Amino acid sequence: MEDKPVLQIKGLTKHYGKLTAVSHLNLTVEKGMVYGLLGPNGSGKTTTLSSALDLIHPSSGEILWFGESGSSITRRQIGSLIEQPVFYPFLTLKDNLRIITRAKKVSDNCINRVLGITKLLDRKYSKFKHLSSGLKQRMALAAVLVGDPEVLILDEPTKGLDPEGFSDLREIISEQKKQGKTIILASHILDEVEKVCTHVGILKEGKLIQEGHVKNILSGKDVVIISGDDLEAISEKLTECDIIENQERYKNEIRVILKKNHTSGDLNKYLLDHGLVLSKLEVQKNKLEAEFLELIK
Amino acid sequence: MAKIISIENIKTFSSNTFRLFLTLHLTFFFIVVIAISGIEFSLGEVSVLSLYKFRNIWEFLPWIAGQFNLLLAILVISLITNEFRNKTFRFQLLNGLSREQLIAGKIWMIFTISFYGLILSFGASLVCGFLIGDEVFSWDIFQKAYMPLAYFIQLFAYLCMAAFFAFLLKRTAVTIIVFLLYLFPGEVIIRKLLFSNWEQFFPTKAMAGLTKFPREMSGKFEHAIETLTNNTEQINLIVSDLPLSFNIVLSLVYSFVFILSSYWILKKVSL
Repeated sequence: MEDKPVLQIKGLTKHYGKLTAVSHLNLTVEKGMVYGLLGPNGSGKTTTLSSALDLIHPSSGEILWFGESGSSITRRQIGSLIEQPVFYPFLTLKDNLRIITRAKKVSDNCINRVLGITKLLDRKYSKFKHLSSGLKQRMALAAVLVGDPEVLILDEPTKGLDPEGFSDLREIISEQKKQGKTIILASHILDEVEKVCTHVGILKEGKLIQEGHVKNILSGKDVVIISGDDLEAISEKLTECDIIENQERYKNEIRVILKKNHTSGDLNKYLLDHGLVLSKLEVQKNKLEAEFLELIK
Repeated sequence: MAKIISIENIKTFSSNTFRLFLTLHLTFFFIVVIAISGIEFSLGEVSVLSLYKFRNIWEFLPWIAGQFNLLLAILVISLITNEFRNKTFRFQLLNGLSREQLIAGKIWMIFTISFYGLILSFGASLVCGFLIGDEVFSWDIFQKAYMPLAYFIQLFAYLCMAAFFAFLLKRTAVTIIVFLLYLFPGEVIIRKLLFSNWEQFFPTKAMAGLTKFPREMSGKFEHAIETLTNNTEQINLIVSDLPLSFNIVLSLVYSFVFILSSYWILKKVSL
């Protein structure tokens, strides 16, 4: 079991009527990975995770947890937050967590621990329906941590969190990462994914279009923001330029993605050679966001 | 199984819907029992008070309780459809329960409510037999004391049927409406039009046959009601002519079919 991947998805396809939400998806998450699942809305992230957790039935494909077909026993080793927090609204936080401790066959002692981590201890006897959306999200995180699971699946975990909650979440993920836990994180907050994830998979229209180590995804292509007096002429000249991959106009600036092994200096020289002077040339750190936006185009 | 019972108990007993419906059920039941006992009606050897005497009361109070099954069915429908509405089936599944265990939890909930019905009908029969029927203790009073058990089976089967509708339709209001339409006129039309020779074997008919107006008194009461109301049509207080044991088997078979169908639906549905 040690050598087997934590999660293996083989040829997953899910149709909703005529719509194909996920198509022949293959994905492997090894132990200790912090795997970021990225994709625009409707790209199939939640469908993929829901299928993996047996919440929805795939049209075809195989899902293996720890090398075995998903069972309730393996699911007890997984803490998951899918879409919005779901609890019994009329129960207190303690009673909601008691349901989880029983389902996972763990002691009630961990209730105080997880409520402490998520700073909800003073709301232990509040009914879930009386919590604000941010606190509900914290409660969902508390539920994920019950039983100290081997795997954490977090689908948009920052939804509804205030900046403090955001920072707490980052801390929780870092702590779990340090403990060697496997984390699968689907998020729109790319900066967040870039900070915490070791691996990234990018989904587009239900297909995995890019996957690998974050460092490999950030392939070394530079993003340069340029500006000048005659933006139209600069933009036109860039269309003929073979050292750039893409350009995008933002108000009075142009965002340029350079091809591999080309620098901002090369770009400046090219434009100067064509009689175009830049008033601004700013090299941006190569961000996952830039890569992501490029890939999902 | 212990963890499923524990989980279901935490949810059910903390639910306001559960408390409200049980309070309503208890209140209506006792109002009707006390109200009927206050009717001063007697025609020859037929009197209302005779219904409260042992052994009649073992049949009479479960029969009265059976008239309020619908209230408990609505409770079961609410508790199940709320799980779909609040997405709490998903919550349990995410935390390691299987779909089989989700169904087992609901069977336990139905069993608990049916057991409440058993205790209520047995306890009320015993107490009312002494207090209203003015009987004194002897072992003979326990003749027909098995009738609350028949009511328990009736209620269990009836609630399984309600649960099946809830799993099938998932929305509270829609389920209650369809369930009511099935009870009347749905099943009645199907029985009368299509299977008139097999009427007794239909679910509600078989279940209704488990609680009977006291058999020894039914003929006399039917005659008395016909006389008092000048009714020319025959009054029939006994809904099923099949033996009790046959209705028990039939109701248990239906319970099994409804549970299995509910499980099949839950197995197929995306949560």
